[in-house]
Amino acid sequence: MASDDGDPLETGQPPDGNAHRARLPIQTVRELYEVHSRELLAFLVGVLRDGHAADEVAQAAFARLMEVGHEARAETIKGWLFKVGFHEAMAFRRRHALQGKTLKNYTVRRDPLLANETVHDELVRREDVAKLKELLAELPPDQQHVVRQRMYEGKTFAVIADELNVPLGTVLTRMRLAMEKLQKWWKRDAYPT
Amino acid sequence: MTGSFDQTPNGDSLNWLAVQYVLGELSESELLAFEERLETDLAVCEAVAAAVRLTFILQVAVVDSPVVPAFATNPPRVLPDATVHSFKTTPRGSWLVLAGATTAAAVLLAAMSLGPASSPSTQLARVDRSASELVSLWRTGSAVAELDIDDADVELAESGTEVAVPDWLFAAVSLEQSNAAGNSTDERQEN
Repeated sequence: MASDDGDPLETGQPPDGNAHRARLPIQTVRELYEVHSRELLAFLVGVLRDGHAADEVAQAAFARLMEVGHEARAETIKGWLFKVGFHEAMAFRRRHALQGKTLKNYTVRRDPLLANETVHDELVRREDVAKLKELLAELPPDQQHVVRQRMYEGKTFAVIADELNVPLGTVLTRMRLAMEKLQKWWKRDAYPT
Repeated sequence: MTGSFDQTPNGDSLNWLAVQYVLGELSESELLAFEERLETDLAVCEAVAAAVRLTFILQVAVVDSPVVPAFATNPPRVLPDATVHSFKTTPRGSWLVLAGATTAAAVLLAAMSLGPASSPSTQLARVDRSASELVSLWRTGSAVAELDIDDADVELAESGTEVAVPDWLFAAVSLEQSNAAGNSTDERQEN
């Protein structure tokens, strides 16, 4: 993912005697934050299913960047940041597992969106919502129905399939086709890479 | 991170896997396998981030979008009688059922208030009765006398509008009158 040097920034212990190398300038950290913070936060929401936790872990990842980011190679700094974020998220989970919550809490189906109002404004742009409404209206009715049932009604694909009296695979295909169309727009117009 | 995982070995696209991951639709084994990839592949992390943002926006967008009725996507299910009474509805579904029942009751009351003549079944019975009466009258030869006179014909007679009478009708009537006159003369001469 990140550097081939054994991820020194994860441990905070720089290898090769680079302990005295200067830390990243605050301006650089700020720029990296501007560029990557939203995407990192979204990624961590996906991993943790919790906006508060994701925000906390994202802050921890950027704190690590300030401490030891100078050890990462510039061309892999994004990969390094996400890797640190993921490790921090796993550590967060383990801490909560010790407090009585098990990994299963994170594997069961939970709506990642309902309990994340704190990060909602951070991740949702009004113009994106307007555009997505247009695209939704262009989807075939069967795909629109599955999207609505899953995203708004909060039903699992299995329940939707049961209610429509169709195989689960049919519902998954409808949802997948819908998401592929929306993701094409996403990559092309909203957040082109 | 290679960023080259457009397709998984089983054909699923990375983006679709990420969506399923975010929605919590992966099994535990699939989830653990997917999270192993998160640690080593930036493209997988980016896919998860995109899936989260897309689902966030989609959820907001869906709220204000018009509802697509289920019958537009699939034919209605035929439920056995035993399952009809145990069918569970969401709170939203309960409101829809209540609204539907209210509308049906209003339509029924409106139909009843219009009286029996307007009901389709009554109209159908009347049509049947008229047809049978017509056949019966026609068989007895009194159909013409018993038939209702059209209102338009009545109005025409009362208005004094001149009706064109064919010449053959005048000739026939004259012949009948002259024959009748001849018969009465003969009877007088015999007497």
